[in-house]
Amino acid sequence: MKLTVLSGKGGTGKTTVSVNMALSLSKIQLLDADVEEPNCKYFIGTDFDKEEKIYRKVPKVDQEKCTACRKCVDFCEYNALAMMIDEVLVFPEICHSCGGCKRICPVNAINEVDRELGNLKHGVNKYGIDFWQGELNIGEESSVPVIEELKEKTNPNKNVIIDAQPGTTCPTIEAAADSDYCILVTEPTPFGLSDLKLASELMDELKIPHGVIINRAEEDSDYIIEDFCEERNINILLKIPFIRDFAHLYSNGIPFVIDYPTWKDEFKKVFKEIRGVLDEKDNGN
Amino acid sequence: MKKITVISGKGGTGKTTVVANLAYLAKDLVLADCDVDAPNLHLLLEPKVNKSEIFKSHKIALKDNDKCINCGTCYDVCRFNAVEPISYNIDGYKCEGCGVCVAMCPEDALSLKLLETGNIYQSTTEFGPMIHAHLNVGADNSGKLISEVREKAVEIGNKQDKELILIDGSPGIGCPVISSITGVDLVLFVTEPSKSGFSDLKRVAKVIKHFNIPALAVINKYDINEGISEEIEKYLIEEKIELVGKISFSSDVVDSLRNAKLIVQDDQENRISKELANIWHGIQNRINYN
Amino acid sequence: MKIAVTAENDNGLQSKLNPHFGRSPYFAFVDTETKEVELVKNNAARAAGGAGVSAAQLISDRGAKVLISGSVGPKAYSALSSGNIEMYISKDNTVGEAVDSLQEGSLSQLSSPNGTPRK
Repeated sequence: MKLTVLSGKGGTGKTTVSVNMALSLSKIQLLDADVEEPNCKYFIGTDFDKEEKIYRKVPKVDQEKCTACRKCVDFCEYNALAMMIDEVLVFPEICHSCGGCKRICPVNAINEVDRELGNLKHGVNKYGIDFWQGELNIGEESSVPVIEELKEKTNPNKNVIIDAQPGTTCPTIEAAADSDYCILVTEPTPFGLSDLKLASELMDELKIPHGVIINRAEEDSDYIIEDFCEERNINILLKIPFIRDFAHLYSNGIPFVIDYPTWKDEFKKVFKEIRGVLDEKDNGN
Repeated sequence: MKKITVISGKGGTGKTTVVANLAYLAKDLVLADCDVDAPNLHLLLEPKVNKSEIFKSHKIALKDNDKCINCGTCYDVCRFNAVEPISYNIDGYKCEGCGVCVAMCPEDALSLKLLETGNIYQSTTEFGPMIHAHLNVGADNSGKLISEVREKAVEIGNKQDKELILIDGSPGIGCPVISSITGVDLVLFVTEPSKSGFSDLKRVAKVIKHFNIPALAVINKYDINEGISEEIEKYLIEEKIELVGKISFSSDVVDSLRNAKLIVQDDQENRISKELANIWHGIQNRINYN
Repeated sequence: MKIAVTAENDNGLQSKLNPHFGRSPYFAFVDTETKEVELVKNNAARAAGGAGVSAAQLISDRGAKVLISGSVGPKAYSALSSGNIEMYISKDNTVGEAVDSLQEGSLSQLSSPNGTPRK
């Protein structure tokens, strides 16, 4: 099973859910796809035994061959090229690596060279979880290629949990795209509700079955989320109450199921419920 | 007109809550919500929308099926897997509007089209005008929308003779954050004492360091982990970022939040309200504003 | 000599100086010999990204040898330097005042981006 954990809003507890769930189940692979700011490592362990660099292509202009025709400058949709005093300047930071300038140059004066985009790292941890992290280099904009490479590491013999980037834009979509089910994490506040609506809208568009986990749940405020979920027929899988000690453990990078192991049963129940939903779906119900 | 941007790196540190409460303390200002992916400021400030404009920035390739001969050239040249095999339909989410397929199509069956990607709103709040925006689900952010939000904020600030623009910045560390902070008088970091929060603070601070903008920091919920709070304070000193205040964790703030209220408005005697008031004084001193 | 000045509006020499370069709504092109002023809309401002690069291209294509702005970002700085276009920072109110300040020699020339003037 491939599960993606996401949220419309940052800070609701995606990583908390991803990590604690991973620790509660067996045969688990955890992929950290929040490549701008991957944080699972603070909970799983920061020892990495493998690193693979990820590159993208950027143009390199042979100024000798260049005839200053400007076709490349005019073609580029991203303003990554400029012509100053008959020399073509390249701004690789904003280049989207489309390869267009190379194709369009009438005298083959443009070649492509590799530029480091990010990396994938394989983590070693005492929990026996197969853990891969994707990371985007600071200053780079394209998360999606890193996430695509990360997904290549998916182990088909394991249950995969993907911790996605918060929000509803392309990097989140890429992480969720071929998942069997998505867990939407939210908090019982107007912020949480507002962003849950966005995430749920995205799930409907992508046609991915999904359910909600309310983090920092409180009796007085859960209705904010419960009412919405009831209205939209979205399953609430679990409520993790606000417990100050959970927050403290989180701040120190300790998954709360370590100190509160009975919570593992709760996550097992969630998994079983999701499994049930998917089986029903497979049976054409 | 002074401009302040509030950023955090990590989501959920309390950035928007701080912005809203500062707005109350500042009393009369222009607000700009540059967190356009998941805007939240409007939930606390209840703006009345005066004007709404459609925003277009994202281009994608559009295929004329009548002209298409299914040669698959577009599929071959696309670097973004945005052309589906066999059908050669364009995946609007993956297409980056680069124009390569348009240029290479032998039948001229493709063109680039500017899409509606979201809306920009000009609104009024209790504390002054507010510019905010919303991206359509799946649409990607760019520095451009944020620039537009900021430009409109400056425009309306000039028109209405305001002296302060407070910007709720974008989370993360990419181009949207940079667009949120260029040319401002002050950056205010709102962070939390957790390993993740500290890590993200360091990442975003590194990204914006070379812009040389004066910076202040607030540690929110500092008493959740005083050990990490201290580590953050040491880091701030090393980086020459002044710590302008620490806010305690309190369920009172959560209660206010739940009811979409501002704690500084509702309960001025509360410890949190006093901490926020101190932070506001610190900010005023730093930018010579009163 | 042609001077490019970032402008907020289209009002000849009375146009307000714009603090930014890449997304400045207009550029004023001032010819120091003929004293002619031309206000041009900055299409680079419409760009989703790389506005600074595109704006640099625009003013270079129009033959500007000098730029006066409130600030210049790193990519624009790089492009303009490559084009041998001198950059000056002004806090003047209008385009006309900025050009006067330049000719009086009272503006700081940029040696690195983002308005950090040369000492």
